[in-house]
Amino acid sequence: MIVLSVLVTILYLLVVPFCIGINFTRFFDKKYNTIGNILTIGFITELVIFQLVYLFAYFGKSNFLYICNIFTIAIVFCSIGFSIKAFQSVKQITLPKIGIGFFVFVIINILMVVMRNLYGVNDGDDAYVLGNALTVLTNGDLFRTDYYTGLAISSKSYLRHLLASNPIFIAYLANMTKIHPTILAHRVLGSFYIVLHNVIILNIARLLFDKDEEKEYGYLFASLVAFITMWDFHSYLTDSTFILTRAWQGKSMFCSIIIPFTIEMFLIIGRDYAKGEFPEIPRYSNKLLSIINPKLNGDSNKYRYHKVTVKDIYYPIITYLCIASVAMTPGAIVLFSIFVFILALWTSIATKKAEIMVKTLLFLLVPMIVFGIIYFKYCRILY
Amino acid sequence: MLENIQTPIEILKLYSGNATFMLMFIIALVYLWCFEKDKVKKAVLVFASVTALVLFVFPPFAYIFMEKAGEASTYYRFLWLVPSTIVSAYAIVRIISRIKKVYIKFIVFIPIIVCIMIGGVYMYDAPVFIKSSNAYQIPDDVKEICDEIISENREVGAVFPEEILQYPRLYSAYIVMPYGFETLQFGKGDAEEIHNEMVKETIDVKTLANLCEERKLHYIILNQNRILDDDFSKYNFEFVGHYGNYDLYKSTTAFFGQWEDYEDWLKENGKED
Repeated sequence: MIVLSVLVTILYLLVVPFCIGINFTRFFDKKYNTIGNILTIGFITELVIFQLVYLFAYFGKSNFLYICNIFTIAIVFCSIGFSIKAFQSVKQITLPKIGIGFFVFVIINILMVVMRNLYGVNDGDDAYVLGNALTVLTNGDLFRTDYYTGLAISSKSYLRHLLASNPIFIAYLANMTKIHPTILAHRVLGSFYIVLHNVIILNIARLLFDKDEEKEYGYLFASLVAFITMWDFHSYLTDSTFILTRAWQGKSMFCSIIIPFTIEMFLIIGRDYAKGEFPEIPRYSNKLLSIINPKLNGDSNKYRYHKVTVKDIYYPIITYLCIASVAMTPGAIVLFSIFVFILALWTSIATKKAEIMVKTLLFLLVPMIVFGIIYFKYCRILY
Repeated sequence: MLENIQTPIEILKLYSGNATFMLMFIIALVYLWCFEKDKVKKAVLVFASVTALVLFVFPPFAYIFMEKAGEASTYYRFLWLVPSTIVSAYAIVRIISRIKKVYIKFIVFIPIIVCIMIGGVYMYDAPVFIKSSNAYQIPDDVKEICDEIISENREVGAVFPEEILQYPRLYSAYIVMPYGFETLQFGKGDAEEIHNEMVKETIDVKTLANLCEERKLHYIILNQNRILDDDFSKYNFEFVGHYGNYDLYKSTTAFFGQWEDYEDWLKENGKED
């Protein structure tokens, strides 16, 4: 039973994200297709799919069992169905260089994971996050039972976290892995999110130290970020404190995954726009395409495929991050919007491309306005 | 902690603690502003951070969040948008990378690490961490109490002291409480009377027992540092045992069986639902 639980956990946290993430490799240049990026974007996609299924289920008055069934089907379809296609056209994946820096980085990660498992945390917000997960798992209904007490919900104030599906996601994983949600969150997810955070930082390092003679500093940077994080308990409020003490809570996931991954995305966007280098993907040609592109006329391969430059893939990923961030904490509607706005503004100025700002706003505002409307209609409580 | 905070500067002070890392971050910003040549890196790390910081302390912006939106207690989260750790580490490594001789790199790097260790506060020494002694990472006392009171496939009502309110329902959703952790967060709950009795230094046993019996609670858990003015056994609650720092009392009148036997139990005891 324990072996099965471990295997299912690996399936949901590593295999499924990797199979989904591999789909994105064709949109990016090889240098961006690291295992860390594939896992991160795959896991974020997993969260996005779960968030959408959860919202449809809640507003469709369905229960937890419905979410489990639909999400499982969706995830199987995405990870197996799409990845068959993706593996056919997968570009080469960039593997980490093994050296002293790599080992130092791994040792710091192991240390963080060991400490996460040696020490528990006295934190009241678990009463909501894990209380809600366990209540949903036990009762099978959504937001009908007060997760703090177990009594029937009597006030609309309990719906203030309605948009954040993270507790329900924990309940889902607990249901599939047969691990108690509290153990799953404190030990497995806590460790996983800390490592995922460090992996995203390592990917940022690759972008910051991108010249050949600088690459050795990438691991030093990632290890130093982890080291500073471990010494950053200046108050209970710092992002480092949230990341290391309560990594499984949505707020902390926002700090550990969304913020650094958004920074990484804008470093990629800025770099590609500045250099004018955009990923090329093979796309099947058709008659319409040959009309648009006269060069294809008379080409015997015109009904096969040719390569198309794609730069708009960045923006749907911004939308992904919007949905995933709200799945973690409803506060992301405002925080993430402001953050992306600031980053897009400066990236546009740095590259002198207004297009970045305009497209980012378009892909940011549409989902956030929808979430904002839902929040103010169903969740906003004036105390 | 944040109830009395009035201004963003106060939040910034509270957030920064001894200010060592904030100082390191500001020095890193200045260094990168002056010496970073890559415009995109500068924009994403330096200008975006400065913009977020300026917005944070900008009075009209802070006023909208703290006063108009009523988010004064969560306004500190805006500082999460400032990637201070990434910026600081990047500046340090960038400085190191520009030094040509390896031994000078070490001479510069080691004091920086020592400064981080001296100026920083080690996370795992923080009081928020507790030594984990069970798989759930909840206090052993709570786990033992929960193991004792949980009944197979039915809920049991229990009232817990404030300091462990968040834990029972992390262990089992079959434990039902008259008030939960939201009482501490928002100062309200459906069972204020019981809560008021539970927080007294000297417990009014009769009042507490009667209130719990009215609510059909099965158990009362009390911290041993509380003084009892009477004996619970006089008021239909029997002492079960000590569990770490807590005492457990069990109702002698509540229904403990399975729900299908409830009607029979009512008839046998001459009670009405």
